[in-house]
Amino acid sequence: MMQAMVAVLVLLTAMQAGEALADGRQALLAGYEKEALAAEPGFAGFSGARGEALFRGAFTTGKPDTPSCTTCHTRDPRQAGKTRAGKVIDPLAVSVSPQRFTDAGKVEKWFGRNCDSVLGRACTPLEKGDFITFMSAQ
Amino acid sequence: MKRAVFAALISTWVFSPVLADQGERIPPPRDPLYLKECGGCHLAFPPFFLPARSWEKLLAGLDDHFGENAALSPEVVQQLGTYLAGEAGDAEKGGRRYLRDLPPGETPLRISETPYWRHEHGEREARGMYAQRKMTTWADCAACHRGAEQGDYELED
Repeated sequence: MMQAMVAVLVLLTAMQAGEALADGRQALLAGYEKEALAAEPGFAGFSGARGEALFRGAFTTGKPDTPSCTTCHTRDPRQAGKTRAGKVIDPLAVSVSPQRFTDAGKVEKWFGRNCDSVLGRACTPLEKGDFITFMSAQ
Repeated sequence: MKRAVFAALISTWVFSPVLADQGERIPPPRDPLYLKECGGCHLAFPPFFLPARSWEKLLAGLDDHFGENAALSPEVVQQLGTYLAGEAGDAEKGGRRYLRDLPPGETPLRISETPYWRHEHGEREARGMYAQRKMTTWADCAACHRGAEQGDYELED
């Protein structure tokens, strides 16, 4: 009886934690949505398909050793990636890494660095929202 | 029995400098800020592998950190600076062994530019492993020193 109660409590706590993370991610997306509305004429919502195209795209405008997000994150968002200095990167897929895209500071820092590396410029709010939307479904 | 115990103790004491000098078990950095900001892209290198002046120079040039923009807020840089100065190879608690033969006028920005490191990795074995594992940078210590993140630099056979 006691064991069952403990199990239920643990499950409820985990579910709540998961919900809290999802809330954090929603808040982040809402922020980008606001920015995208202001920046993009005719913004009609984020697209996972566009996000995927961004993720898998090959760019020549960034640094030569990082032509794509997949260079470090691999082609499979559910797999761990590797930096060029050999450090393991947690998977981007939210289903595997539920803490992803919940910390605004962290997200902005890495979009900042990595879009500069891959695209040679900052990512737009639209691109960021699309990207997160794609990863949220992986 | 007593003699055996005594002999064992003496042996440990006599041989401990040799064992310690292997330098294979190194306390890994534990500062959360350092691990977060300086361990995201590469191994969070133990600060005592470089002198304080090297860390200072690295922190002053984060916007071009070996070709990457690793810029951080001034507050974070300052905090890291304090930490690294206190843990550097020439700090009071530093591991002076790692700065052996480093001229005072030199400020290496890479651990692989220190005489100690060069001595440890100069042999054919190291170069062989590098080529065999198709490595592209010496910054990936863990490629050969699998336990590096835990401070274990023992090479697996």
